[in-house]
Amino acid sequence: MKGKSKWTRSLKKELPLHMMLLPGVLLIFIFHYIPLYGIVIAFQDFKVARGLFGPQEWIGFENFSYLFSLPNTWNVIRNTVTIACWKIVLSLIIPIIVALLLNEMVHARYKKVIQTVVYFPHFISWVVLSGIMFGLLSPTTGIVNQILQKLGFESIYFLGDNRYFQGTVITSAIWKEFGYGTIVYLASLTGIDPTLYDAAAIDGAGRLKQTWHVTLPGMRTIIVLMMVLKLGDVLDAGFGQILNLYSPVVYETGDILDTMIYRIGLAGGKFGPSTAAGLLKSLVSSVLISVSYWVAYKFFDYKLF
Amino acid sequence: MRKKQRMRWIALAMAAVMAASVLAGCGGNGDGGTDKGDTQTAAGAAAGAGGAGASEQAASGNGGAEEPKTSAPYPATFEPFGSNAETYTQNMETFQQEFLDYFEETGQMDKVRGYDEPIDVTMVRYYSSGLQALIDSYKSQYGESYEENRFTDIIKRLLNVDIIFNWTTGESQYTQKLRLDMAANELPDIFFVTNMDDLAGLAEEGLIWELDDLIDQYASDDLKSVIESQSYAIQKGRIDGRLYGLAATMAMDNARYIYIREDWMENLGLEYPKTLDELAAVVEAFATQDPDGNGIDDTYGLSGLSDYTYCFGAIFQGFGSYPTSLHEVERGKNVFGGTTEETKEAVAYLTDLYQKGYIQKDFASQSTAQEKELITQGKVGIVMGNHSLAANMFNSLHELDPSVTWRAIPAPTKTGEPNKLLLSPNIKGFIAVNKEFEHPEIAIKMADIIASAVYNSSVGDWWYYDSNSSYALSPVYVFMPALSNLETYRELQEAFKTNDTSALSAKGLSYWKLMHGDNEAVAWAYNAMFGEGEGTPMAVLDSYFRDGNYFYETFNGQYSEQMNKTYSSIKSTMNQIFLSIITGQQDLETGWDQWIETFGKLKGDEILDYVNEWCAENNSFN
Repeated sequence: MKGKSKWTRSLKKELPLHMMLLPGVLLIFIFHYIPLYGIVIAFQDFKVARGLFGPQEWIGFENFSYLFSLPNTWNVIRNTVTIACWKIVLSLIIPIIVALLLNEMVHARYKKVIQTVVYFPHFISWVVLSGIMFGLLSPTTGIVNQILQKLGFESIYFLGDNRYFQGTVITSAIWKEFGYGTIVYLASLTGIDPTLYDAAAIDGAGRLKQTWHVTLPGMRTIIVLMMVLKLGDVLDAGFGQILNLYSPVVYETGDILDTMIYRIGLAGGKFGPSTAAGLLKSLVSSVLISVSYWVAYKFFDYKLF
Repeated sequence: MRKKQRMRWIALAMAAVMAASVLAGCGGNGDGGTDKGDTQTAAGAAAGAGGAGASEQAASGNGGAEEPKTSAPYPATFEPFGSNAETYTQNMETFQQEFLDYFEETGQMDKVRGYDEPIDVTMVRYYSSGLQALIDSYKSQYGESYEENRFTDIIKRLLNVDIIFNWTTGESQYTQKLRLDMAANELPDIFFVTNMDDLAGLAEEGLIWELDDLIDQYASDDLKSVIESQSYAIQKGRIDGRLYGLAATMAMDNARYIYIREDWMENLGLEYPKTLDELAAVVEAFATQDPDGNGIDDTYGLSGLSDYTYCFGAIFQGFGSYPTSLHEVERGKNVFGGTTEETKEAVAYLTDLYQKGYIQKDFASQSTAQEKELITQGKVGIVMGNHSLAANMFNSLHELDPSVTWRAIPAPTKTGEPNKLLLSPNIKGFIAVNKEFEHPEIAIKMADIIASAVYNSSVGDWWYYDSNSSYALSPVYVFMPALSNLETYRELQEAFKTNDTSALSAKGLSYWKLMHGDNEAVAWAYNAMFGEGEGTPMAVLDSYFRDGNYFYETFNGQYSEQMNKTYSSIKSTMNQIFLSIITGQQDLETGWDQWIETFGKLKGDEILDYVNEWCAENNSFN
């Protein structure tokens, strides 16, 4: 009796908060949970004309076996993992380094300018950026290759040569996004108690030692958080970017799961195999994110929930 | 305290409003859905009661048993406005009168009879990027729009039918959106299916009308003659022998031409190539001997696009290779063009040119716009493609430097004797009619109107071929005779000789007007394509047909299950491997072996068996 009245009392008190939560929850439910129904397509011989809820034929795992019978599938998975891993590692390390360097800057004004400049590419979409990249990197008219030629090198077909394509993709993605990560880490730096630096200085720690023993441990939580969030992306090599940059000549090294799903499903109209590939990708991602979360909890005592 | 409480109430109210707006959004969608449902219940309820019953009922509806109380023309609902509204009114009235007179005279009036009560027909449509410019110009001239234009207007006047567009979308999204409609079971009454697979699906599920009887009964003589000339392409709309989609046909007399810059040829004093070796020599000269005479090594022999089997098609053809098609090598035996020795030779030829740096290095990743930029900068001497290059790719350079001219030549061959052109059906898609729609004959009547404009209207050139693009506005898409380009070219040549335009067809007349119009750039482009003289692509096409140097792609049927599974992968793998060979990332022998192996792995031979079988049963074209 008493418990219940306490429950109602707390509910009454927190009602406005719950109401504020409601729109978000509703949106997530409608746009993220209800469409999960579409997963059934992965196990059907899906014919559009029969309708989403119509009498589709169930074929078990045939769509999956079809996927792996395609000649390129393993190659595509390898590309995806390679590109994504490089992106994850670099997008973790580079922003940290830049944030630490910026943190050491004395001129606040100068620091702000740099911060803004490196953050800026984050706002350009890949559609626009790919156009700029094609222009800059063209082996015939691009400025990069003209400089290379002036320096006596052979011109490089960055976006059309399988040897260079992955590198170009990874570098450009890091260049576009590292400013964003830098800002996150800079924010976490402001949370470090300045007296710790004073204490370290009194103990005789120089700049490097201070960074190693005070700054980095202070950033640990946010670094682990970013890592946990990023690990779920191992099979996510950047659809928008690759779709805009690749061409058949670099499918061998540049084709990734998402672009393959796009080509099979949307362009080719084979919804079954395409959904199967998407489902597979989601499963692997959720396993990975669970594992990384567990690792974070075990070794860094970090809890997200 | 009180203030805090007030704040809480305000917060609560705001949250409630937000939640309500989220729900309202969904509610809105829901309402839209039911609305649509309501309009369709009239047709839907009957069909829901039982497929067979509904179709019988509807079939008796088309019997046309009841005597019409009224007759065309019906009052127009569209009022033109704008700078040229008068021309519009005049032309429409002429068209309407000629149409009615013609059908009365030829005793075909029953085929295109209108309806006493106005009938609403739901449709969907897509627009291409070029169409927007046309609409902008028509809007100011005649007040036309996507929803209300010369097509919807004439259909209202002649048939008393109101077209309602459920949605319009860009060309690239159309197939997707239509599939959503299919999945949600909300198909429009008459619609355009762009994908053969989708058509087969719709037919198998009994969602669309079979059209054979309707065409028999309602197609005018003109429409029947188009269908006759295109019987090869029309075949594609047949599923198990019955016609479910009326193919919107385009001219199929398309070749891949090689365009060479005439001024460069003169500068270097070269002969137009007849053999592939000679072509390679010209490409080399263009790349290395400074053909533009500016003293800088900045020119390429050849440019292209990643779709190289298309844009270098002439070179493949020169070797006797047709890499992306299924065709007969001897009676009853088909091959996939990409696996032939001829194709291997063509790939080796291109590889050689690329390795020597004569082909523009980044052709495989550039867009059409980038290629055009290079052409406009005057850096490319040879471009390959279809006949519209003059209008699309060379026009900007012409504006900069009118002295630059291009000459089209037939595909050079190994021996110097021209070889055969492969003709493939060229269709935009299929017109299909929703089984729940009670007046399926309206689709055929609309097609009748278009065929009539093409064949026997004095204003057809304005109505259908204006600027060679007004047909893109039509709700039921293009119907062109199979050899439309060639026929137009030949009649134009006649007109050039006699200077008499009275014998020209609607299309010919429209081209004639464009060639003699005020827009210099357009006139130049059309003269470069269809004009007098030997160097036009159409003259090349004419020579192929004069000598009988053409044959048809043999397989023209529905895909088998195996084809649906792997045929597209076969093509894309081939594309990928050949590109890696040409760009030197893989040597010819290894790449070729890998491709042949993949072809086997993807059950290419099984596909060929099916194709052979199909051709034995159906084919009568070669």
